[in-house]
Amino acid sequence: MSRRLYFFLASVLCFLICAPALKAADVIDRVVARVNGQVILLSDWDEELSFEAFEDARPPDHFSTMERQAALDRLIDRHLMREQLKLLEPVPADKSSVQSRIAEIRAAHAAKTEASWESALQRYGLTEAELSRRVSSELNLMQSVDARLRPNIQIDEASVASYYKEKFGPTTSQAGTTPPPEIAVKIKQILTEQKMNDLMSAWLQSLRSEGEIRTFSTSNTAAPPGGEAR
Amino acid sequence: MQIAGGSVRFLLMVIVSLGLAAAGQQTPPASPTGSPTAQTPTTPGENETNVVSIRQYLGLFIHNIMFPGLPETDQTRFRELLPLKIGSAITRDGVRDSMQALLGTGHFADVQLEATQRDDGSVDLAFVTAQSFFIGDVRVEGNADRPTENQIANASKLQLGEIYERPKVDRALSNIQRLMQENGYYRASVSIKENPRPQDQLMNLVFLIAPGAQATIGQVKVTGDPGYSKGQIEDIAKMHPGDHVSVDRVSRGLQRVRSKYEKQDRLLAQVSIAERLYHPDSNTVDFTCRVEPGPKVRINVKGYKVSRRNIRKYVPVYEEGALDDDLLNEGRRNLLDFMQTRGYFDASVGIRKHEGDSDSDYAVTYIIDPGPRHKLAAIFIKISSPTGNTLFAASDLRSRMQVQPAARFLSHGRYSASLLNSDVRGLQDLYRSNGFRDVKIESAVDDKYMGKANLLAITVTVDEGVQTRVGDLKIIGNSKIPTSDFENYLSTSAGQGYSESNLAQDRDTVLNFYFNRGFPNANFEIATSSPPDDPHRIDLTYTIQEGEQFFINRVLVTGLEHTRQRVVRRELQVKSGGPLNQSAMLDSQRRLYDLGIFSEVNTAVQNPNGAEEQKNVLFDLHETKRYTFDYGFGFEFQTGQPSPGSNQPLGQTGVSPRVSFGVTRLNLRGRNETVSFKTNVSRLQQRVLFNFEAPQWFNRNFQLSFTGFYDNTLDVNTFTSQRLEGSVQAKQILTRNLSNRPISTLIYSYTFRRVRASDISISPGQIPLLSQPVRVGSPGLTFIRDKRDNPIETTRGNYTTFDAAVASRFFGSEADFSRGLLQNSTYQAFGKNRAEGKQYVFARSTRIGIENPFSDTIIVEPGQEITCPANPPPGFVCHTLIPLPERFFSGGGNSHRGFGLNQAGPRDPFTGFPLGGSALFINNLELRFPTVTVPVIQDNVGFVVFHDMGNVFTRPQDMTRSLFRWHQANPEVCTHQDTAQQCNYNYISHAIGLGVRYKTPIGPLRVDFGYNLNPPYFPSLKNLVVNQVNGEITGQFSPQQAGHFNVFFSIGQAF
Repeated sequence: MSRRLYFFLASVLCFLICAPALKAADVIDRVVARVNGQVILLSDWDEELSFEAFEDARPPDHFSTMERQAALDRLIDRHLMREQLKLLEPVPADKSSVQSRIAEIRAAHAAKTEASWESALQRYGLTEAELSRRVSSELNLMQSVDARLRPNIQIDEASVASYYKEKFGPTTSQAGTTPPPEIAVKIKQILTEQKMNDLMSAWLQSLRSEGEIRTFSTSNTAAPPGGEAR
Repeated sequence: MQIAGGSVRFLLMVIVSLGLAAAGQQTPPASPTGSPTAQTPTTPGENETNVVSIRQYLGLFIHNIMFPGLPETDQTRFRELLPLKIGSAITRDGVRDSMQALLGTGHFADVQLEATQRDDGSVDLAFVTAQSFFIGDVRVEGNADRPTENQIANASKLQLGEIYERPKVDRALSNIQRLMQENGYYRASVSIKENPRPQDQLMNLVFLIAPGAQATIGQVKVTGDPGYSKGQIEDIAKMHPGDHVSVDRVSRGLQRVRSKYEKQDRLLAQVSIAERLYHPDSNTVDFTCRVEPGPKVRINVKGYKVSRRNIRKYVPVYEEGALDDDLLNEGRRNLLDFMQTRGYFDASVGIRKHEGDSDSDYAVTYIIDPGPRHKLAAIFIKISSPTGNTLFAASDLRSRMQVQPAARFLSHGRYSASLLNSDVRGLQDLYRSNGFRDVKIESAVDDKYMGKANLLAITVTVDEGVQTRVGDLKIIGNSKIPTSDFENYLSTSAGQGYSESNLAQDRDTVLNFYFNRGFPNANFEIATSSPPDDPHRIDLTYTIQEGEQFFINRVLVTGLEHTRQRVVRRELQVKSGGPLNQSAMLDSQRRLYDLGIFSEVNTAVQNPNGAEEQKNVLFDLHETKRYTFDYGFGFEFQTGQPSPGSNQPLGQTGVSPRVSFGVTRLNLRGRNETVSFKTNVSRLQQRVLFNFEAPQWFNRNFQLSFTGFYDNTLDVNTFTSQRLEGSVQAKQILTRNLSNRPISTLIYSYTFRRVRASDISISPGQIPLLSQPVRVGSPGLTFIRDKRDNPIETTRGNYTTFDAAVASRFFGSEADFSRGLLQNSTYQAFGKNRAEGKQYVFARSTRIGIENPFSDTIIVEPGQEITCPANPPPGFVCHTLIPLPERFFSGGGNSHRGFGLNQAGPRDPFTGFPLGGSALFINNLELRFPTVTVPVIQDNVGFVVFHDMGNVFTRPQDMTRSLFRWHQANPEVCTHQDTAQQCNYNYISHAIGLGVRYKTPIGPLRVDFGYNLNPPYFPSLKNLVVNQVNGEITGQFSPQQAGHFNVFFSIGQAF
């Protein structure tokens, strides 16, 4: 037997002996953020991404770093909002709204048969019950936020007129400065949504500044002591 | 050989492979030492491990749970915290709650969960953690004098025990940099050095500061319309180009400019720094001052004459630098109060704002209508109760009222209808809070008291009604501490009168009880209810919410440089395993400060927000400077003061200057021992003293000291004593009071001294014996019992000392005598209607001292000659005397104020100089009046009257026979030279006097004038001359009488 053969056999033997021991541990979860003392885990983040991908009917593992970060930010925002809304009367979404939203998602996936629907859900690591719970939770939150912020919004006629004049200025010379009623309703809706967005941004900003938010390293590099705070 | 070579290679391969295999199984290597995560073998995210979805592990059974890198004891503790258990299945909620629980402890900065599936399908879980660090000792190095190290440490806003995070460090560095800039150090470099103590999870920090050159003022620009030139503003603010920039200089400069305008009645002047521009090239700062002088505002008073000084004092517009209705109204109320204290009880004060005159742009006039002047002569309080026993005495109620009758410094009293109404309401509240819900209080004012117009008398009638009583008292909610543990401390009990203040006291008592046993979140609520059929009964329910109990895991001490841990540990009142007791922490802090070797003692709980029951307690100490140098200059002033070379037996009235210098080395060997060297030089005394002191010998109730000194004293007119002395002394504190002050103390001592008297001015026959150096060795015992409320300014209590010593040849002494001195003082405050600190104090002190010679030591009468030949024949006994410096002397500001310093007692029949004696009796009585309010020096001056009696006697039996003899027997024998030998001093001398006291923080400054009612006559020589060769004293016989008047000036009460 040549020396090379000895060497080869010895290497194979060693590999066979040591292979089971070399099996590395799997990281199955880690803390990615802490919001007012409550943890957000890597698994929460992954599920959030899967759910968002499923809602948008896009591939589950095609997210840029920025998109991943944005998803984590949304997760943190929702956490902060839920914490605040816990103090208020809940405004649950009705079942039909939930079913309607699920139907929209199903349509986006073009899942006409149960089998294709199940297959789609499975691909994203979801179940029907899980999807229903998430959709319901999302709608509940939106309704609760709406109930909290919308009463503060007052759109007066002058604002509507001003918007009309600004946006439709060149065409209003003949029609006058007052928008027709059907357009006024639309403008009011637009202004209300704008105002809602402004209020929402301001609210989230204040929640973030008042809250204690720590995000942890999300890469495979060493975390600094105590993580980074924002 | 070839095969053999191949075998070696094969073995190496196997070893390397096995090594790799082992590495794969074990936790990865530790991080480099010095990193905050040094003790954490694996930092989350540090490994080349596979990140996989948790889904594939959900539902699998857990075979083992590990915490790589943590000690097994900690692993067990943390395993118990986890909702995930060995043998159970992995769930999402279980993982989340476990991670939450681990981070919630505060121990970890990061957590990662790793899983390894075993062959049998079960899973080994490993929680890989990065431990948190908490802020420990914070120091500053390399700083300039200003800002101080403390200011810099405070600016960092890093709190002992709180979690250490990078953003906090960044904020601290930025705050310090800003502070340095404010103080002109724009070129300062600020960095931080981390010294982690991983085993304690502590991060000690040192801020390294290189201040660089201090910036100077470049230009001072002025905006606005100041009415002054730029140069004038610079002069007023004292901010000139080239001056160093500092925050103090700028703020003082702005204040000076504001004051300038204020003096011109420009009360609304706005002066601020609008901009500061730093020029790095020249290291200068340009300041832009915005100055708006504002209008001239004149504040006047019409209708009553109020001085400008009082207007400034009572109208806060001047102090606040603002003019608004609130401040003007406050001024109106102050002026009204001012009028009422002057007897204008019906005065009214109005405000009128108007355009100014030629001197001002704007004016505010207070219009005062004083009305008639009254005097409140008396307040009568009549209290009635259905039971006949009233809860409060009339004097108690009167002391709570704002209206006051006329008195020495309130010549018209204080009264107004609103004040009286407010008093009545206050008294009603007082009664109601004590359960008298039906109380009725009425007041009536007599404006023609004793028939005199405008002389007021107030009558307050109180009908207490029925007192509500406590029915049932229930205590609920407590489960960890039984009610029996604290119910004895409660002020409220069933059947007693209902009192809101007692309820408040109970609340404090219970909460303190819980806080001191590790329940920081304990809560206490009181519910009351009354049965419908008995409105005068209240049932009480105390509800206690105990909350979580916290315990002490370890007590960590940081900041020690020289001091031994043992010195600190023995002062700590918190122990590992005990409950987290905040008051014990504060008590430990106080005890550490009391050691006097720490300039700063901080204490905190490590990881205060962590959910764990076991907490570490931190003590961060800053040692004080170990060497202190002190020097001083002072003087003594008194009558009867001796002076070297003087031929005056009564001494002179004079001043003796005194200088002192001392070096003290604290904390010797890090054991809290002190060595000091002190010198003291005055005309009366020159002293060098060396002292070693161990304040805690064995335990805190034993103190050991060694003292050695040499002194040359002339505090007795008769001689100069040279004393070389060494002593060792052990002090044992037997009992302490609640505030830890020693009450009973025993002092064991052994003193060895060599005493020599020189410059002796007494009969030549005694000179050879008395001027010889004498060794005195004596063990002694002193007992002290101090129950005074305040040693500096005692108002009640008593103070007793008993000092006993035996000087004997057995102990190395050349004279044999025993000595005992007993002193007892009592203090009694009286005047129960007077406020605390404003009472009269009657003080008494009695001193009795006896010296008893034995063996060959004898006592001789004044003038009696004793001889000892150079070669005494057999059987001849050479007697020794008690050395002059060892005898009792008396007279002076701290003993008998009818005599000059040490002038009491027997005197030499030839020269008339004091000889001292073997017995002493002094009794002092003193009535200390409360301080009186005097303009300028306020209530800091008090007066005393005193009576001192007593004397010094040649023999103890002379004292007992003379206690009731009030006059010197046959004083005429003292006035004739041939009978002077028979002059008798055995009587009690009496003195009365008056003293003035001025309160200071170190005790009252004291001036006493004593008048001796029966001073002694004594023989003396005029034109006294001492022959320096043979010691013979010659002079012309000239008898004298000691002076009647004596003056003493000193610090501290006489006793």
